[in-house]
Amino acid sequence: MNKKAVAWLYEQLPELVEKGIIPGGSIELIQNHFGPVDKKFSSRTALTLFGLIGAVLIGLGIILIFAHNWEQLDKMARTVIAVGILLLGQSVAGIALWFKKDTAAWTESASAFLMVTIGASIAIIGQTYHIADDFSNYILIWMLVSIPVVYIMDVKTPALLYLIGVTIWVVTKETSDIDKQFIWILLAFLGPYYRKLVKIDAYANPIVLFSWIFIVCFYIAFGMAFGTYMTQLSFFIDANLVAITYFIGVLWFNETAKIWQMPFKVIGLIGCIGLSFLLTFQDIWLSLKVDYSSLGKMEIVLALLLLAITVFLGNKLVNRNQSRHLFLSAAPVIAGIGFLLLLLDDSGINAILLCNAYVLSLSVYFILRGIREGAIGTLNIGMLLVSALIIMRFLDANFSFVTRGLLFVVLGSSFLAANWIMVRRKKEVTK
Amino acid sequence: MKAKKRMFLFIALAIMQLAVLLYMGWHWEDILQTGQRYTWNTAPVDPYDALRGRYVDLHFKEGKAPLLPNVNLKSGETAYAIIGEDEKGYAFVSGITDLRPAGNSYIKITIRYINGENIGFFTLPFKRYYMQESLAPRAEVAFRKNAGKDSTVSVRIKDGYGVVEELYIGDKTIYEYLQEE
Repeated sequence: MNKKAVAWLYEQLPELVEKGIIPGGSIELIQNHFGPVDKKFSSRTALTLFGLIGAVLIGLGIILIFAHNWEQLDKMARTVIAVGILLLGQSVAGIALWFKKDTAAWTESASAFLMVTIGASIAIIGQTYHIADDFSNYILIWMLVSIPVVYIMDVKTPALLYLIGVTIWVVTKETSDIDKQFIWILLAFLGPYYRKLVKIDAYANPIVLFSWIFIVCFYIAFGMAFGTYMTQLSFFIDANLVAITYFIGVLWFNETAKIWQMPFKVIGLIGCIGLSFLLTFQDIWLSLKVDYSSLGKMEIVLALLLLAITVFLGNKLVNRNQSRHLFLSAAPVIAGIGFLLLLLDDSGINAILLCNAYVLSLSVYFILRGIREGAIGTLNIGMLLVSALIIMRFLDANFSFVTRGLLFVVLGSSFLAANWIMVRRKKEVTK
Repeated sequence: MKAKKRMFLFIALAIMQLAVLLYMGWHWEDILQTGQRYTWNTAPVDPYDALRGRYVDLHFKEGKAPLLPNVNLKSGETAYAIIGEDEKGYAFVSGITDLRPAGNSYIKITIRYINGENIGFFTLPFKRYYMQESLAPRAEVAFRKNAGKDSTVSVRIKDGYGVVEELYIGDKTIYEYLQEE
């Protein structure tokens, strides 16, 4: 619900009654329907934010103080301090949970503080015994003993810290790829909580922020877990991944007007267009060097699995009469067909012709839609895309000057012709 | 969830967190008390860890060893370095195996890579010695001044884990040396 719009509506109501547009009793009915406008919203948010920042700063301060490594302290004293710090964090969180369970400022700050103190106490033990254990293990233990806090205290900040923590784990983990697959279990631990948040209000600020970070972390995890398996099908797999992101955005996170509240849609669309644009370069296709026999099993399974999800979600879109989105996110189709074309001729000419035609039609689509809806932003996306495409092809040394020259003349003429037709139509309409 | 049940779960979690912390402390203390002592040649430098403070980074000459016959390992895999002692009493890694050896003279490592001659490269896990922040850089200077002389570290080893016990320049501990200075 748009709170600003409701506030505006409430302001208008007395005037509407005065002018006799709505009957006097309607004010109450409308106000009952929308509920009160929460005017304390901003001060409450500020309270939570400042509480959070304060708690995290104190926790980090404690870490730094003990990182000084006081030589006067023997092992026993250090262990007592480590336990003491943890108990302090637990007590603060426990008090918040018992007495202030319904005050977000309290529970969020206290749980964030608890999480930092857990990290601090593990660090002190590590320092005492000169543990050089790789950083990723330290993070992993920290995250695993922290994640239950999210569910027990019903708090978002530790969930966010956990998400970032496990991503750091998968990035810093220096080991075989099999071990890295553990990241999916780590991420799944957060699943039920995220689902619950989205069900309550998918467009509330903290959840939107969480979604943005979640997508980025998921991409990083995906790259870290599967990066070494991906060779020839890497673009196809990436294209499916971004298309799935876009589909999720359109299917389940599309009921808001603000762009920043639609992370799945935005990241997915940027990914689809960016990837399609990347595939207009011949060098990209030449670097793939298609060779059936060297395709890894894991790579094929991954590609098929993602393709299945793409088809499933795409089918859902068609059933909901939203098939126009399929055109915007056709990157998997383009990458897939391009890959097959590459099997026919390894120069990649057919593949890049296809990709260039697709990106060109994409930019024309944006331009036309921008004009039709009077949306300057959409129009500019189209202009930007077509300009980038033109500049890249103009400088592309893979084509001869004559080919490029002819192509540019033909393209230019068709734009002018399209313009001429549009002007004539407009005149006919005004007549 | 009811408030009481929630609180009960929270207390259970708190106990679990404490147990994890105390277990970690006990695990390393046990190795330090009962582990076998080895002396390694080392060349320390002084870096910095944002969370755990300043430490002396121990560079061992032992960064590689041959794989035992019939051992198949890939980079990133866990393996066991078998520790031997040379005629001067210094420890060195005599070979790498993929199965946990009997006895106590081995250390768990992660293989970094393996070259064509079946030599495995790794980093010994006890490569840090945390010191007070003002002392760590001084320790590094002391080590550099004494280049050529023996700088060693004694490590306690048990069940594949190692804990650094003390850092030495010649026959003095690093703290004694810095005090005399």
